[in-house]
Amino acid sequence: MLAEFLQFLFSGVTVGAIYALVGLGFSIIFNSSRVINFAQGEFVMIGGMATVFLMGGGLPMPLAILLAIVIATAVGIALERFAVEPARGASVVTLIIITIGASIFLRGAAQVIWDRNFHSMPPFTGDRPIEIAGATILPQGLWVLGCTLLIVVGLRVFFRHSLTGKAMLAASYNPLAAQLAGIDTRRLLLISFALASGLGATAGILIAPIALTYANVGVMLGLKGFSAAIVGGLGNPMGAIAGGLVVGIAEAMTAGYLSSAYKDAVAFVIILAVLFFLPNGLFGRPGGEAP
Amino acid sequence: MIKRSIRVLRKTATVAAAVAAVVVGAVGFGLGGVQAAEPIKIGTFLAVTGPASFLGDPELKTLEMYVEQVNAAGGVLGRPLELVSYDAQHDAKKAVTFVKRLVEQDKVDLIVGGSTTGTTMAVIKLVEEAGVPFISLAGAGVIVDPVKKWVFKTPHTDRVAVDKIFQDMKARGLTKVGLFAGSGGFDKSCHKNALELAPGKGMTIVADESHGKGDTDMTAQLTKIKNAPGVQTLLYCGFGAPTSIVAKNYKQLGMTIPHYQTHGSASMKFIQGADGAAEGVRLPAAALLVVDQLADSHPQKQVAGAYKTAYESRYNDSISTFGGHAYDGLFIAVEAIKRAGSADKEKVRAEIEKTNNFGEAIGSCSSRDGRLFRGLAAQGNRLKPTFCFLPHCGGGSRRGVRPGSGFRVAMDRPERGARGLVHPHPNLPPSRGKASCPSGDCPGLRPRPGGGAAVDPVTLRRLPLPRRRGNKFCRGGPCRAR
Repeated sequence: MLAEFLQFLFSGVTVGAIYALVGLGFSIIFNSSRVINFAQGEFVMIGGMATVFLMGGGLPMPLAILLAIVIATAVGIALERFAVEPARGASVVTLIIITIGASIFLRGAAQVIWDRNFHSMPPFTGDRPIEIAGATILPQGLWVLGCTLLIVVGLRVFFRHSLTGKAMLAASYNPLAAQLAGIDTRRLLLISFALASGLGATAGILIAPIALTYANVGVMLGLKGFSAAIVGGLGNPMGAIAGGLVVGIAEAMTAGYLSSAYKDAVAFVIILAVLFFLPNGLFGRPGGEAP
Repeated sequence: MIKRSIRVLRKTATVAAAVAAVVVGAVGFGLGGVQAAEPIKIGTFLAVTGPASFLGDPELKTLEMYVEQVNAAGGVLGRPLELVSYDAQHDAKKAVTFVKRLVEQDKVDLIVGGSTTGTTMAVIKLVEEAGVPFISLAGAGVIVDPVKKWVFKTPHTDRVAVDKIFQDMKARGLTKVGLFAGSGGFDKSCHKNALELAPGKGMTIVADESHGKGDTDMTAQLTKIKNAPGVQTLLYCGFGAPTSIVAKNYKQLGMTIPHYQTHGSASMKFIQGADGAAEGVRLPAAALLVVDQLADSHPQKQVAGAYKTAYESRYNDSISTFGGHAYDGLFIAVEAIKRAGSADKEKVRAEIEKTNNFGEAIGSCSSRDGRLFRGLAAQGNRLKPTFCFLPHCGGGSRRGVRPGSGFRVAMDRPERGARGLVHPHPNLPPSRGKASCPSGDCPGLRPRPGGGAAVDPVTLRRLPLPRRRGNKFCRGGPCRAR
């Protein structure tokens, strides 16, 4: 009984942590531009695929991972520079449509540059399941949780204590006032895209040994991450973390105790319920604000 | 007044259309008759890009490669083949548009294509109306069930796969099945067939779980299956990345019940993706995948081997059964055109229908002795043929099944052709015309002469006949009645 519950919980938390990391990316970009970047899932894909192919090219894993994050970040920066930036004056809806276009482009490019098959990545440290009270978790699951925790703490420090982080917060509260105070909001937008794509890639690399990676892997992960960001309150990074865990655990518990047929439905019912009773998400304040 | 003029207009239009049809028909006939060096046009619409590109990509590559090869060898009936190809992706609407174009604009002689069940089903009405022979490369049985005049298909269906798997389970004494399926079209169809076939096969489904599209973790569902009372074996229906994830999660949970998957998992990608967790998984698949391990005398060794060499050396990519389906589709068509002596649509259609003991087959049911589905088990880094399923659509018994339609029907009615055989030898001795057992004769396995009489031509159900004759199985030795 307990073992079963723990197993569902492990499953939910591991998956939820990935949703959370993807959701974080949505939140950060939303904060700086009010744009929902639907290409966020594609950064997840680029992270995983690039790592796999760099390792296939003979690079040692840590180097491949580092390089993959750099590649994804570069793609994120390029997306901002060449697609979002030129349309800066356009309405938010236009920008969102641009990101959707970018996501389709990136998926297609990945199929051409890499391939259309799915690939596995070796786990960071062994694949011997760790048993806790009858339930099992993979070492990779612990990596996911550990890295998510580290990233959350790192982001908090960044937003609270670094000048750039504070400037990003300021710009998200009031872009005009921030600009008047001498903050270069365009540079901040670039930084937020870089940050979000780097985070997405990290999520993609962490999950690849568990869930494999392929050119379309970002579609569903992106959607789930978006759900996480909505549940937690768009624009609130800590909310995205909570939202990701809520969605992930709800899915696992539904699959375990109700019926796996309703798994996705329940996740979306939760989103609807949250939006119905708390229109700004669990932790969002009107207008979507940062912590 | 207005009404009347409309009526007149309508009448004129009808007449005009009729005239046009006659003229076009005559012109078409004239062209076909006079200009013998005109290319024979083979149309295709495949999911070359998009989510189903793992199907369409090898299929198109295969078609291109062999059309070139046929042309280099002088074409068919002295006429070159011309491949007219469109990328319909996984989109039924695009498929309809492109098939319209193939039929009306490109005026193809026949169509080999349709990577997915969805795109195939969408165009069936069109090709039926246009009267163009159409060989589909998609999986689900619904494509040819009920039988359509112009529609054929090469791949074996999920129903066949499930049937074979149940046979193997039964032979191993496993009857309580934990069923697990994804949410794609193939997954659902396979799941439905498993539920339908189970009672007749003496199987009980004790757990029935599913997972969503793009799911990354299935431990919750597998935990439920693991804890289901009495469960003896796991059957997973699905394809793509989830197949590997299921294998990994199965291992993570320390599950030990025999693990079956379908031909949806029958690729090296499944094993590589599972990172060692696929060890011991059993699945039915075409012999093509294990061609290296077939005995030289195996009837499919030569053709399948040649295909593998040609494909891999040209594209530097590993083969899949999907490309094999395209190969079969193309050569069934080529052979039919040769036999028909022209590219006349009706004649070609009739010849395709007569296809029997198709000698070239690689991945589909039309092979010489029907021995295509092999039971594979993942071992180490490769798939190993550890048990084999014998003819499910074999030999001569098909032709009579229903005048003119045996070929396609047979492939989707495993319950008719199925004669399960399980034996531990990785390689089978050769056989021609009759299925063989590793040692000794197996009279029950011979195609029933004129076996078609056993089938009701309307419902295509098996009639109560002196049956059970074929229902023998053997294990390494002489056959025993079950």
